[in-house]
Amino acid sequence: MSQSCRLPHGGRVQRSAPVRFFFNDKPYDGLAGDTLASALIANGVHFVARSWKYHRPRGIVAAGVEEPNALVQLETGAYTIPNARATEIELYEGLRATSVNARPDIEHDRMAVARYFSRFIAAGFYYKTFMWPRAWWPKYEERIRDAAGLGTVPDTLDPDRYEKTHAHCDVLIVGAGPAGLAAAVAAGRTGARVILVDNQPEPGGSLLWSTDTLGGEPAGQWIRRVTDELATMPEVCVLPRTTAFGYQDHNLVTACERLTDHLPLQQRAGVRERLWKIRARRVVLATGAHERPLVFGNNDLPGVMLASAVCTYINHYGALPGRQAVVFTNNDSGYQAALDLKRNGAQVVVVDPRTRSGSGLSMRAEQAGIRIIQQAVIEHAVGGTRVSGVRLQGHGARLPAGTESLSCDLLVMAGGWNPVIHLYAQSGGKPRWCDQRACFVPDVQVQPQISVGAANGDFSLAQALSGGVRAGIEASAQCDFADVSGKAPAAWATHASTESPILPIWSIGSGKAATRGPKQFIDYQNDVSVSDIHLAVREGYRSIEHVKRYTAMGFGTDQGKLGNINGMAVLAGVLGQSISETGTTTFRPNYTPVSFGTIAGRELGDMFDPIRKTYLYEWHVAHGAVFEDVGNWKRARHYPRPGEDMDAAVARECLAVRHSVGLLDYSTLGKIDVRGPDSVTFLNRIYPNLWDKLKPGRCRYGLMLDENGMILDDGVNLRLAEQHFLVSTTTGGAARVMSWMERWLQTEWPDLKVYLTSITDQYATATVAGPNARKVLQKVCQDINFDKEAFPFMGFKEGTIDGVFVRILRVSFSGELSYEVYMPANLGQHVWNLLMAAGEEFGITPYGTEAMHVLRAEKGFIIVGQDTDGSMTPLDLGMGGMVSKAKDCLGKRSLSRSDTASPHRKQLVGLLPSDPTCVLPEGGQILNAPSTAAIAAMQGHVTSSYMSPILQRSIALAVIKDGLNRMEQEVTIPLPDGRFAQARICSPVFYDPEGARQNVD
Amino acid sequence: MWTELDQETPLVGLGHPPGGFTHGQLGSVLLAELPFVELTNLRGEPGSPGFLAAVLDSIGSELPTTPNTVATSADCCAMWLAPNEWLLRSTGAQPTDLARRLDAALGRQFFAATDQSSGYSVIRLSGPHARAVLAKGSPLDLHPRAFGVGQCAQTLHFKTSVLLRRLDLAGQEAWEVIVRRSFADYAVRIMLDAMEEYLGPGVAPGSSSH
Amino acid sequence: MLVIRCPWCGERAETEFNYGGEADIVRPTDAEHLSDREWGDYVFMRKNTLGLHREQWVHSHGCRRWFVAERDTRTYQFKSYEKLGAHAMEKS
Repeated sequence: MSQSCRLPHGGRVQRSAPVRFFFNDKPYDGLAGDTLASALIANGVHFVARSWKYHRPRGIVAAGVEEPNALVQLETGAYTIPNARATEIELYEGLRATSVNARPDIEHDRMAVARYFSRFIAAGFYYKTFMWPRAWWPKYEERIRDAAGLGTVPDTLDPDRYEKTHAHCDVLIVGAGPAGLAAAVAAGRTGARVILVDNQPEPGGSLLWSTDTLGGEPAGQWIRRVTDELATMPEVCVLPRTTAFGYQDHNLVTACERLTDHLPLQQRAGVRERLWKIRARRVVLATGAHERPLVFGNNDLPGVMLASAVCTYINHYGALPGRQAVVFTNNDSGYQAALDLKRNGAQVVVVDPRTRSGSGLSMRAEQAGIRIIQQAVIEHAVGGTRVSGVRLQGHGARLPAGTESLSCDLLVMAGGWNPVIHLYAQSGGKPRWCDQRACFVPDVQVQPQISVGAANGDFSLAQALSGGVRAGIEASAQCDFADVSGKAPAAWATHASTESPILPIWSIGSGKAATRGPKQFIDYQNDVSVSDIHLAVREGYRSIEHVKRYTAMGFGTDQGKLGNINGMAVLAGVLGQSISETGTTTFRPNYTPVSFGTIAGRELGDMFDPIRKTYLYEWHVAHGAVFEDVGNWKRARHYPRPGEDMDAAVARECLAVRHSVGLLDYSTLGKIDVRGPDSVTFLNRIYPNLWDKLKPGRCRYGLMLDENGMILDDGVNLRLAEQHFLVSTTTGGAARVMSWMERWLQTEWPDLKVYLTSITDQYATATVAGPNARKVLQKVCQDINFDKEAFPFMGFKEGTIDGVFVRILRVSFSGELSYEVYMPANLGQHVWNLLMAAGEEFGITPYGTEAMHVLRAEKGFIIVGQDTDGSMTPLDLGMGGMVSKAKDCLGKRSLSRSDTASPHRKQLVGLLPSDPTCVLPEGGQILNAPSTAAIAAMQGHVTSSYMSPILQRSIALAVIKDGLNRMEQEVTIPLPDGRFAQARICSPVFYDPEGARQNVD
Repeated sequence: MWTELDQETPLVGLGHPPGGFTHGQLGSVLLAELPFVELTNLRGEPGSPGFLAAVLDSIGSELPTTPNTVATSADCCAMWLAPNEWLLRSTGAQPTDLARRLDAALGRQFFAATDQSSGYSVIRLSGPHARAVLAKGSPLDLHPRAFGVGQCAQTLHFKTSVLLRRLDLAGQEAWEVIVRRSFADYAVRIMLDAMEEYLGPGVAPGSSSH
Repeated sequence: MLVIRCPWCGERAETEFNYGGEADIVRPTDAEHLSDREWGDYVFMRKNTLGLHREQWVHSHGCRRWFVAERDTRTYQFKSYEKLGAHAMEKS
């Protein structure tokens, strides 16, 4: 298809590089350097979308990020991007895009009928209509979303790579238009570290196609010279195709760099997008301004376009948006578009509500022979899938004869300019309404930033340049980079032109008149019209924040870019108050949509969260271990042999420990070295039990409470020397306990001379458990006497295994004769291998955490965090005796509060299911009797539940209200399948209650 | 009696080459594991009489008391961790049993010296892209104006803590990264992944999942 | 993400720190003589200040020191930082 609207010359497109692309499955040709939007316009395509609610035909309105209508589904399958703005998509060979809100296509959109009953579906329609009956809402929601949906999300994994990085600089400049470039070169010359981000493929902004001269130099040449200079500065980093989308706390600006989206799919490699988290000492916002649409009837027809967009399409892309144009302007900007159109052969009529002013641009238009109708406005546009004409109305004067209707194929709007204050507002600033310029401008600085150029409401090129230079120098100076005299760029002289002031017009017709006749759209993307705002006010909404939410104005990708200021002004008019009093909605990140890939970066899959590995991880893998996650650790849960399921493997591992010997990787337990003259005092304050009497060489179990008296953690502690302890913690609690203890030491007891050092990672631990454990150890460790008298239960010894220093504890979490061997982790594998070899004759069996859990449950040993939650005291566990009466400790006072001291709390007990093959569900609620009532009195819940291989029956631990007084009573546990299991309350110690096995000679 | 061959580093899952795991190119970015470095954590009060002198005697260098700085001697590098905490990194080829020597030298003073030679992994990252790789995971400003040779800092590397030290390898930018043993495999795998874009196509050894 | 000035290490990103809530809550030394209400006040009750708030932070991924900061809970601006009383010998 020919590019019928491509101008014969001009623009920055590469005329020798045609690009084939597909829009709504039709092939078109564009040029390298086009955007999808400019290529469509070059092909005469304006009707590109259906609006989301009324399914009205819509066209390309803008030429940048503010585009509300031309949302496309870009590409398909894994590469698909929903709601991409055609104005931001750089054209590449083979590009495929489709309109998002039309099925089967925009010409034959099934939902187009919606526009004919649009008067029934104004703002709030869905809220009012689909609320009742409430239970039907999910169905309504599904249908409404389906009908109104914009793009579709991809249904396959995103194959692209996304990176994130932190960056730091003295001066961050957002926007590389004239103001931003001037600021960058001024700051760069001081030697400050500068980052300049710009959302376009090349720096220059509006200067790229400007006919202005800067200091006598054509704009293009000036850009080249400045960017060349920036490239020579080692501390200046220029990031094109990078959108600063968020201004966060303490001068952190988040920006997304697009690295490959401009390339054909098959040429893309490497990183697609990079998220920059830029911490800047000073920020210069040179984000420019967006032109405002004018609000009149049918102002949403395809072919209705912003004046600045018309200039951009003509001058930057060499594409002519129309041949018969009406320019509706309330300020001088529209005249530039009129001149550009006229120069390229279009017929142009200007409609200007103002009286003849004689300003520079308007005079040039007159001289060019452009017809100007003063003191007139457009009442409404007419057309189907493209504007075909307008109806005019006098504005303070009668229309000249014969001008009531004009025909056109392009309707250009110039309603004034909105500085892009999004980032300023996100930084915490409250914008101020400026009557003279009829726009919101940045006001008080909240964070160390400054807005310059059009972003500050300084719309002339001269102001942009001088403001940029000043901001660059000042920002650098504030970072202690003085402007070395003579190095600051001189002010570049620019051509000045007289301007006449804007005449704000917020809608056509006032009061009720504005709500009748063709809809006057304020927010195209969300189908919000003037009448919706009137309706919102009639229904009692007054605050702009409420009106926004009721009407959806500024939602979606728009985020208040295009229509919000018109909306606020209309609301102000309806309420009879000033725009200043009405204020703006809150601008929040993100300024433009950010892909989830960019937010996630590379922290995906195995890299999402740290995987902590013990010294034995690779051995576990090699021996077929199935892992479980405990905290961040990967722990071997069991080692199934071929043909074994988990139950069979766990039973084999348990019985090996009970009958001979097993070996467990126990390295994940937290280990804290506690040292100093006040160690005993410290531990006495941390733990409920007494530590004075523990002798060096002995171990003691300790429970740790929080100040509320609830169990925080537990572990076995060793007294290494008079002033030296080794405290152990649970696997998941290690970091928490370390910081808990350190916090008390630093904040409450700084007088205590105690040092805490984590040695969790330094020492690997292997548990040798079972009746043959001693025999195994005796084979490999000759310098320790393992006899009972020399090495009793709850004692520890230091020695060597093959020359490796080891500390061996005789403690038991299985109820068997058991030793824990601590060794430096670098040699852990070596010692483990020696233990495996020594145990071979006894059939030594590696066992995992699941067998460990079964073995400890058989003995009624608790696991903090499984059998306890944040509501269990030592008394609830029947361990009240551990709380020393002789001293205070953390949480002790709480144990005597009326609630915690009550004897009727939930207490830890055992449960024996009546059916010995029934393993109760962990977390199962406990009832006094079977009940199917909606509400039944809960007595407690099952905390641990297993099939015990040694007892050949199921067992469980539970917490039950008043449980210690309810021994032998029957309770009921509802099962997930609706049945009920019966169980008998019993002691939590199911096996070897006398403890004979661990205390064996 | 065990020999050096019986030791394993925390990066055993990435292969177990003698001399340590390496990946990358010095002209771009090179990661090298420095296996079995002797590390000792030392706690003590700099203001306590005799403490600094006794340590000086044992390690041959003053302990740095300026936050985030390093002091080096012929065979030891002392890195500031906290106002009363240092990591002593032996630089000689053989372990020097430093924790026990400090125990002996400091006697009944209030201090704690713990051997951490198995507790951490020492990684060296060098080359022109080393800083960019580290910047992906650390919020710290690594620019030479902010973080020069002779400085160290504890910070984040993605979701784990690390101790960074800037090195000067014959003018080449280089960093030492010290990370807890159990996090080392994670830290290095995600670092290898971060290096990938600077090393051209080809899959880094760490990027395979299992 | 805030920038917090650790009194030891200088300005660092918030992600290196953990928050410790209201500062200046002193643990009662005569807990046994307190009523349940008085003890409950100590354990549970906090001011939830709007405005300048003295609060504890710890440089968890750095020097692991606790310190007190004054922060405006409306603007997130920090006004001051102070070290906690370190070990006795630190007092010189």
